[in-house]
Amino acid sequence: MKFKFKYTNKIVGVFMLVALGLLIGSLILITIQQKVFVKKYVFKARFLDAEGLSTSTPIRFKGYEIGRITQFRLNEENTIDADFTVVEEYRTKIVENSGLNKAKNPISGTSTIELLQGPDPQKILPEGGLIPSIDIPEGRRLLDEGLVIKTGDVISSMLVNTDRLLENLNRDNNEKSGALFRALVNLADASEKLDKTMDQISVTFDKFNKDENPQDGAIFRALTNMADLTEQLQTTTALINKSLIKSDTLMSAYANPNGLVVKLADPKGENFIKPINETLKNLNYSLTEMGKLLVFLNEQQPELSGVISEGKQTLSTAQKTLEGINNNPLIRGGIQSEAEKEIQGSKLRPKHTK
Amino acid sequence: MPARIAESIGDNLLEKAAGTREFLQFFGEAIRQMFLFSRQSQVATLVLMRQILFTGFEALTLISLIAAAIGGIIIIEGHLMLGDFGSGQLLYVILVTVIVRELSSLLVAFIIIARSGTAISTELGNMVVNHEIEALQSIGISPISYLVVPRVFGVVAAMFTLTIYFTVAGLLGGWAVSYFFFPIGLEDFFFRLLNELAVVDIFSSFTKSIVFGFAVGTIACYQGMKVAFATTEVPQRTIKSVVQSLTWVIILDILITMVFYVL
Amino acid sequence: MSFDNSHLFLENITFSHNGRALIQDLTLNFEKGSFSVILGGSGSGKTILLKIIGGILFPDDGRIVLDEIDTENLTEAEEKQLRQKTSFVFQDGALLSNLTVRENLMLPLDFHFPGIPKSDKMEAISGYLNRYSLSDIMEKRPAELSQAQKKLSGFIRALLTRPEILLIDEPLASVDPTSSRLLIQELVKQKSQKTTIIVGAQSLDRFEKWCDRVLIFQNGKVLEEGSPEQVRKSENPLTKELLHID
Repeated sequence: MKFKFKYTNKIVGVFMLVALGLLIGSLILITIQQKVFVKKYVFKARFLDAEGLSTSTPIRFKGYEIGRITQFRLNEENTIDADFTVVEEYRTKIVENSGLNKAKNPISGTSTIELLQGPDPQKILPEGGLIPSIDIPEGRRLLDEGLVIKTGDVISSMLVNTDRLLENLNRDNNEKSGALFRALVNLADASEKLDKTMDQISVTFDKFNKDENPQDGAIFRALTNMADLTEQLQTTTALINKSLIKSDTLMSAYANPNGLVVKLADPKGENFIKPINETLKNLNYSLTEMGKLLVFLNEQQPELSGVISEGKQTLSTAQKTLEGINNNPLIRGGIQSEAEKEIQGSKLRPKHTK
Repeated sequence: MPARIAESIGDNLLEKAAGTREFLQFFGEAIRQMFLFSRQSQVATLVLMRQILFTGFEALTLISLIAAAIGGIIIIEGHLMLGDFGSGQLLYVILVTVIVRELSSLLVAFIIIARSGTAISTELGNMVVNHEIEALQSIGISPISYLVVPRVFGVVAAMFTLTIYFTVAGLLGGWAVSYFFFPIGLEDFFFRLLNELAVVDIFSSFTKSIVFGFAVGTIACYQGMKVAFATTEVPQRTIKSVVQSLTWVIILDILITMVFYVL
Repeated sequence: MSFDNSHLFLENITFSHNGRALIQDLTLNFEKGSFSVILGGSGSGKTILLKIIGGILFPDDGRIVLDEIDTENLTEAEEKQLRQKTSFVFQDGALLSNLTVRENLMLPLDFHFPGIPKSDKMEAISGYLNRYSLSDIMEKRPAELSQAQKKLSGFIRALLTRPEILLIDEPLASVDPTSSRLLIQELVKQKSQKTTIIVGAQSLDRFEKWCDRVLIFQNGKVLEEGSPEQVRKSENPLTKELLHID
């Protein structure tokens, strides 16, 4: 204590100077990092709604922040007009026929806005120019005309495969002609196709992990953790495979002759068939969810890892459903065709996918 | 009966009014003496330096540990809450909002109330009982200028400085824990953090620390000086000092947050 | 009412606390260089009177004239000047507990003489401490000192500013014989330097030989006053009791 009293002034001096140094240093770093004194160019944007928008929402291009929303307001057409600034360094990224893709994080309620650059990098948009969001007609036109591309290629191809799978699963929309066995055969087919798809995904992601080239796969590099993502997708593949192996088992269970007894005992299917029917509807729903997942995956790159987690839950549900069917003693009978076919594979397929 | 209740309420109100008037007089004199501080700096600088040493430097280890632990806990809780849901950048927002804007100044204030506010009240209370205040008066030194002003300045300076250390330690703690979930270099971490950090966050945090320091220092000194004769009054006054300080810190926190972020 | 050669004049001083009158309409005059002893029992009000003279307590009524200056409505500079002229020695020394003896002694010097170099102030402090064989307590805190050491340190603190009026509350209470002798010697020296000395005590004892005037104090009033010889002749039972006259 006496030492402290003897050197009180020196200790206090160092104690305070270090703190002031930290404070001034951080203020300088913020000024540099946030380019406070760098010239900024103002552009206008228009969105369908203000969900998740805030005055500091970043505008990203290839996952990199190039500007921020500064203000926004509701206009007379009931859409949202916003101003955003872009620092001088990235001013040339804002070209004509560019669009904005606003993706909302369902958990945090915050949005990320991705700049979808127009086709001609030479046609720089003058300051104050309007860039529409692709959720309003002007933005959709850009998409339809192919002036902007919404997503990365690899995900798109994955979606195509998944869509095909879902189409296969849902091709039989005729309630009367669609017997259960046919549905299950389709499911078995789907299993094979899905296996192939997932193999393909696995291979693709392996490639991604090895990818060192900064020009390729930029969309994925924007993700926080690439390795985690691949691991999660591989786990997902394994889950799907498991589910579908169970589907095969289920199919052989239907071939069991014991089922006829049950059919005789329940000719109208009130007691046994309907519950099973429900279960199968659940299965279909689960697969639909998987389809949705992959579409969503395609749209929401920054939230990808979160969505995959959601997908894992969906597939886990599918797996449980199939397990339920397999373990159900009533399964040893026939099931009429599915009552309703909710899945419309084509609807799930994004228009822009290649 | 109703007359007695009314009388009791009336007495209570009068007492409160007298107490408030007394505090305002004390506060006014303290403010006046603050402007005259340079004139008494020769005798009061020692008190000021020791106050910063005691309130600031000696609390540094405690504050840093608490801050680092809280930074870590916020990341763990945040991670548990957000799961895998694309929480990367969100963690920085949480750290900035919770540590820089809110917790740094508030927790430092709480620790200073518990550690130094009580010490100041007790010390001044005992000084009154031991006639030390009268000794100062007899010399001609104003107890407010010699005892109160440097203590208030000391608490303000210590609170301000500790808030900086708390913020840094909290963010470092956050980084250390987040490293388990999202392995990321310290430099990268701080640059991402700086992206989320606005100058207004820093200003609001330090405005709070200065105002809280002022409130805690003044209340602790006032309660200490209010001891009249007996040592038994000292703990009573110390408790009052803690309760009033906590109340005012929270009220001021709400007001300052509203000024910076709502209005 | 005024007195010739008056150094300190108290007129109609009244002081009460919690509705109880502790000093009642008191008028007193102290000549320059006089040595007065206010003699009274516990609770007689002598300490309060000393504190009123020392500017620590403020009377409800009446006025105090010091060096022909009314102490009411003084400017800050005038008050500081008067404070320097008056020193108070507390019964228990009343050293600031968070400062060392050296810092305690430096405090009034720094306050009243900010322009004097620290080395000169240190020289004065060391001189006094050496005179009372206290140089080894210089860096100690009050909690580490004996009662006598505290009292002597408080006494030195009062003397360092070269006061013209020295107010001492119970100077010999709980002080060892050697320290008592040193204290009396210092008071005699101060008297010779024309310092006005007012002592509050419960016993006349060792002051009798040196003091000019004794005031018998009871319930905030002067019961009797005069030279030590005069009060010794008093028939008042309280005076007799205080002077240990059977």
